[in-house]
Amino acid sequence: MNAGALRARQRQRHYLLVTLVVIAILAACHILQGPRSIPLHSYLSLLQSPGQQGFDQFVILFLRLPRILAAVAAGAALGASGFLLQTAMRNRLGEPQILGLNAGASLAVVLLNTYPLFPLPPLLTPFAASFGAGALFGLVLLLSTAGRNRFDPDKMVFFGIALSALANAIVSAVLILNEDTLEELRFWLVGDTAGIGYAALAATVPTILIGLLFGCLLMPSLAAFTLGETIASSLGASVRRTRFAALLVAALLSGSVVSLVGPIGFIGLIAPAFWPRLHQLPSAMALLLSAMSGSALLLAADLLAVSLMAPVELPTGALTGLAGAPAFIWLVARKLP
Amino acid sequence: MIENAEISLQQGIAAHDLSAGYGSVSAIRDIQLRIEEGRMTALLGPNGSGKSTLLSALARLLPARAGTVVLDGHDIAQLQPRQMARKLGLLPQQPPVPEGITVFDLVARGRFPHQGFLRHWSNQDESAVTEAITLTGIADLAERPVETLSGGQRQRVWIAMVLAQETPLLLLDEPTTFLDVAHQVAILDLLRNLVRHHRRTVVCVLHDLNMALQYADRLVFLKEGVVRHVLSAATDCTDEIVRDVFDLQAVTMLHPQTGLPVFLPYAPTLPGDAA
Amino acid sequence: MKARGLVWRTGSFSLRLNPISWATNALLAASLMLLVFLGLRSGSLPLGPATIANWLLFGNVGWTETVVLENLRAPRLLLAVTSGGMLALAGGVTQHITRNGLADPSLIGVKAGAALCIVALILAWPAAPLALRPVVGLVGGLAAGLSVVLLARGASPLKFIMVGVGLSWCLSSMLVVMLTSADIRSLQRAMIWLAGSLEGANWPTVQLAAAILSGSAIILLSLARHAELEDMGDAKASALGVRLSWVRISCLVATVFLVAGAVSVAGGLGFVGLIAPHLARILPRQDLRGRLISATLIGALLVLAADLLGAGLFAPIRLPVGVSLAMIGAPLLVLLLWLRRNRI
Repeated sequence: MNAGALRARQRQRHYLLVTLVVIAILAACHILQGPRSIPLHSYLSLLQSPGQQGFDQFVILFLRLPRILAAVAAGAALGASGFLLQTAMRNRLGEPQILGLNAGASLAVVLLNTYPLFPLPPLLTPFAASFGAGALFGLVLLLSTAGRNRFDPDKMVFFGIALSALANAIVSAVLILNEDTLEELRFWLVGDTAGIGYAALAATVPTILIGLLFGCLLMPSLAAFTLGETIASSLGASVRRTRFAALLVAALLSGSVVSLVGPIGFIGLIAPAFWPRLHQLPSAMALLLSAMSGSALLLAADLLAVSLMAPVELPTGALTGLAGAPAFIWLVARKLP
Repeated sequence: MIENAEISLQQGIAAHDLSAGYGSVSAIRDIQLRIEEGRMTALLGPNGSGKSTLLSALARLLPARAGTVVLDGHDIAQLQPRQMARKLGLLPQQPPVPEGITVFDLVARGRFPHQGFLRHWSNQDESAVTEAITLTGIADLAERPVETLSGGQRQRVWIAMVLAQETPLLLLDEPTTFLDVAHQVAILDLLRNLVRHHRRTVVCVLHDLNMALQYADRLVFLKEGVVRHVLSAATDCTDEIVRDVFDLQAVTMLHPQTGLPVFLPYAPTLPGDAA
Repeated sequence: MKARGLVWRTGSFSLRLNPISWATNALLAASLMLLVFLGLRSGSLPLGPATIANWLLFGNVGWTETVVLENLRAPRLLLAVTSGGMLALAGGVTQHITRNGLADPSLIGVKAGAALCIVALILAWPAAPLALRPVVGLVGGLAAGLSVVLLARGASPLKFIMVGVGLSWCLSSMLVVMLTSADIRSLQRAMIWLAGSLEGANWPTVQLAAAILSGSAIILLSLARHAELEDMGDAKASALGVRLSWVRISCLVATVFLVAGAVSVAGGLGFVGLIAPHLARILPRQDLRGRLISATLIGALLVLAADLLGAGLFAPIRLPVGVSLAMIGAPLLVLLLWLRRNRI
């Protein structure tokens, strides 16, 4: 590793530290925020004697903490997923949405809600979402692996966009025709961390961690991609297989997110773009930095969601644009040549 | 040995105190250079010496940070793009080939500076393109898509396009770099033909010193952004010049057929090498 | 060898036409007119071809027929045609300039800006006259487009798009926040508009759309000859005398107007801008100008077909045109990709 890479690695470590601090601060602000004002000593007593639970402690433990954890986990998964996608496709405009997962999840949830084959309790929404996401992504994969050239990421993006558009159109149609479904799902369809329980977290966080682990393992092979495909092949990386694996891991990560908090967009696009030159030196550290940036962003969005129009709560997904975009535009505009 | 530039220039292109570059650094500084008309001038030098930058500045692709470039008596910064395009034809390094375009259509694009709203395809356009295609020897490839051609054929198509532009001055950035020896010779033969028999002025950036010596009428050596030597004959080139510009030890030989110098680099023996 | 096409020369002027290109576009235009004719015939009051011909040529039909044709069908059909054409043209130009087949005019934030302002109007003042929507939309769209240009001035195309995407998301975010605090009725109305709707079709709106389309088309089609040379790289294009920055700025301004205009009059018609230029590329090879004309005609055909299908398929419920467009367009795109799967 040359001097430049070493310096970059050091810098990335600093950025990671900064991001973790930001996450901690945001989490602290978040847990202190809420429609019910909870005095500080309730927090302290929770830490000192966790067994004892009053209503305050209940709110902290079962209403506020889970959403913070969900935001951090989902944000991390989205940030990592976006980075993997952009590196594998060598396109900075890649976003996990284009794989068709979000649209598939929305479609499944909306259809099952409107035309229930069986009564769908809210608890089962994550499963419906996963199923829909997997089904649509599977279709995208199937279509894009057909043909003489076998797997081609550009084809996959096209099919992903086309099928997403189709799924979203059907969702729009159903919602327009069916007011009840619209009323019930309007928050979920944008992505929301409200009402998430520890059960849902327990179901998805392990998958996210596995995804992150595989992502880190893939990074060295993916790092060769920045040099161009011919050089990457000559370095021994099996380009096709690595790319396919990276896309699968990206799908796994964003699939977990959609089953946990619903279809959230933008974080996957923007988290990798926050830090300079992340794409030029892809590494496990860069992946983690991207993931943590995603956590910070989603946590910021969640914080905005509960505090912007307090006491009314907004869905988290609605605020990703507001939380991320101004900072992003400033960053991009500032770095302009 | 730097030549003095002549200020009152009516024809041809010349640089006066020219500095240009990318970013914060000037890749070329204080260049004084006059390109002799009706000759082939080769720009030579090691990587990063500023050859391509100089060519780009002469073609107005890069703005001059200091100094001026004068073309036919006009400061190029004052010329309209179309006027410029009628006097100076440029072939950059490895331009992308538009998808699906045929040889004829690509060469025909060279006529753009002469065309307009109601001047789609004059007789002049037709004859210029036909002549360019014939001159470069690609007539039998005219209807084929350019993407299907080999590197050597493609380069001849690009040169035909510049020829069709009918400019007195042609600037070429590394026209032979990615070609095999046979094609390098073919291209350089073509360029020399244009200079000798069709009264064009050619300036090209070349990588291969020996090829340049065999073909160029004038050689300009650049190093670290300044002009180090200007030679008006290949025979003026010596191994001191080669050592100075390229930091290379070389032995001079005379080409048995042309009598022009050929430089053979050698590395001094290092301890530990087998004898 | 000779230049393809027909050439006429007089004095120092010459004209060169590609007969295949003209034939293709003439065919598309004819199909469009046929579809408009069919559209005039269909609806809850079916009208015979003689009636339509009569109305078009002499205006000599009964009072009911006149009302239906003049106030309901004709404006709506013409609006479908113009909005589809506008988005398709914008899409074709965007894809050429960014040299990216995934580029969609909605990337530059104009669509989000127009949508935000119009939805704000719908929610804040539900009783506002429909004629106000295009005005508000144009202002919002232009403001957003201008912001992107100012923020990303002088940047590379990638950075430019990223700023556009960032602004788009920001504005969409604000839009969603607005929507979530709205009551269910307003929400539905807004959603219908967002999906793309031709409800507000009347003659002033059609005239506005037609004016924007013609003006932008004139600019873009004149510049096509210059913009086309960009595919050889900036260096070569400049060397041939193309004023790159001039051409790009003009194309951008025209595109902003097209998108803002289309969104203002027809709502969030996604997709046309993405798919019409791709369909135009399957046709026999043309230069950029011909391709843009084809894309415009194809976009008009798509939206018109979507509207007619959306009205007919689920009658008496009328699906918003944007929804039926996606339902036709997406499978079409998938089919297209599938058929060319060995080629890509």
